[in-house]
Amino acid sequence: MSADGSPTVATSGLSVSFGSRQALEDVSFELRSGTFTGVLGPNGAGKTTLLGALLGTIAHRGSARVEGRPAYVPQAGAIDASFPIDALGVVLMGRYPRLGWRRRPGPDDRRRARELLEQVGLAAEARTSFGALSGGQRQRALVGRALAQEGDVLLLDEPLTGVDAPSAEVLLEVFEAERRSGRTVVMTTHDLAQAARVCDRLLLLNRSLVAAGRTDEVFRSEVLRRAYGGDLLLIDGQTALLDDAHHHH
Amino acid sequence: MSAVDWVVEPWGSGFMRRAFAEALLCGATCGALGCFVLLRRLSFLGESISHTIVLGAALALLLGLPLGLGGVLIAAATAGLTGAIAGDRRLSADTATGILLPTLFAGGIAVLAVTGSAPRLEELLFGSILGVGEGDLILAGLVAVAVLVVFGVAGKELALVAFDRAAARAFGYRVALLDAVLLTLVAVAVTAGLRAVGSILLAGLLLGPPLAARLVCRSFWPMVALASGLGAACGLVGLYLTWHLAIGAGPAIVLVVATVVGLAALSGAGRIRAPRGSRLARGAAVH
Repeated sequence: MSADGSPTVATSGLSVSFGSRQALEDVSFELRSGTFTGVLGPNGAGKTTLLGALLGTIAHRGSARVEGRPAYVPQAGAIDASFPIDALGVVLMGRYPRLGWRRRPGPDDRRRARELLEQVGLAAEARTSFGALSGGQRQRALVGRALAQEGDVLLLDEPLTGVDAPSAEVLLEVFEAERRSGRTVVMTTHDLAQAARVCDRLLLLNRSLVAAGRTDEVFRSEVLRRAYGGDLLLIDGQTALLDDAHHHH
Repeated sequence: MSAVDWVVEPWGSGFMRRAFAEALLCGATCGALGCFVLLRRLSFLGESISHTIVLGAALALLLGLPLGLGGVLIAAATAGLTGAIAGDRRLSADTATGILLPTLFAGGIAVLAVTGSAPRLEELLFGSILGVGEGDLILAGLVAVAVLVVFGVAGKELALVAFDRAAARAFGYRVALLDAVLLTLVAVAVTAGLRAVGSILLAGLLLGPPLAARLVCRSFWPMVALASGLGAACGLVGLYLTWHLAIGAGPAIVLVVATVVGLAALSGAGRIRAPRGSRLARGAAVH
């Protein structure tokens, strides 16, 4: 982990296409350690694709580099909640890569997993089935799993979408703590206003990179309008809201 | 007949001892592997492979290949074709199964007829556990050992893929390779299981014990262990029914499986159906 704020996430000329559809085009940026970046953009802007390229799970042209180990939180909705596993088991999965083949989680892994459950406010739900957790609690368990990976870069795909307010509060505290400890935190989100409030860097995508930089530089109506076009409502030139009804094209 | 005689008598004959061994091995391996098939929502594929395997067996007989190899190849073909057909947005995996299962199954019957192996058809369809030989037991034993080895080496990784594919990929695991390993195991287990209960009833042995285990278990590995034990136990009890009531072994085993699933549904219904966050759900979760 580089505490000096050197670049830990960098793309250069990153392009991704799915068949004939261009999902990302010529995206170049750098993110430094100890920053919390919100990746914003309309639906289909390539936010999730960007995380996939950084993780190396999506074929791409150009370079997408993560310095150190990435830890990842996928969209909670993509996970089968009927799988028989409890919250502790979910967090323990984050230890698998470091355990390697053959070895099963031991007492140390369990102790660490319980600490992490405490950190995400799920200590009392350790033995609760994943499927019996609320949406926000599931998301907290998945974030606990990502923390168990002890990565240098935390990649979060819509971690606050559909999450109850108390859970969102807990999660944002966790992300902020990770940032303070020198990790690079990257979060995709639909929520412009929230991103502007909690992230110190914003990255605005609409297949190509519209803007990237400090939140106060990017969170301006003329910049936002280039990504969102007419879907954007501005109030007092400060708060940006997206009309959700127009949001699912 | 005393109860002791009822239990002991069947073990007096050599073919029944071999049948018990085959039933225990196939029941245990199919039960364990079926958990993955069930939880990954591949039940359609499991059902499909248990029928298309007849074509694999027929081709293996025709070409003089080991049955297990024919099984693996046809299972891979079934999975690949199902994926390819389901990849068309207008179709789905169940449609793919609806097309592939009868087509490849019919192909298997045709190959058996053309090559003069038609007499083998009945044993492929309904099993012939009372006629298992040493070779069958060796295959079933090897499959069981392979399952234990793979679970020992990559069990937690296979479980991770079943739970959260995207995360497994992001963790750096070669998910396609793990899929291939699992599919190969299922294919050889199904091939071995053909001998025990036959193609038509095989899905019952592959999916029944895992379903019963899922209804009463809250964690994955206990579910696998229970499904494996139930599969073996159902094989055992089914053979007793065969011996004492003169019911065909395949149907007897599958009917016992169905009874176990029914009992599990009755005992587990409260937990599974309890709505999220209800007292019942939380109560069940704590214990």
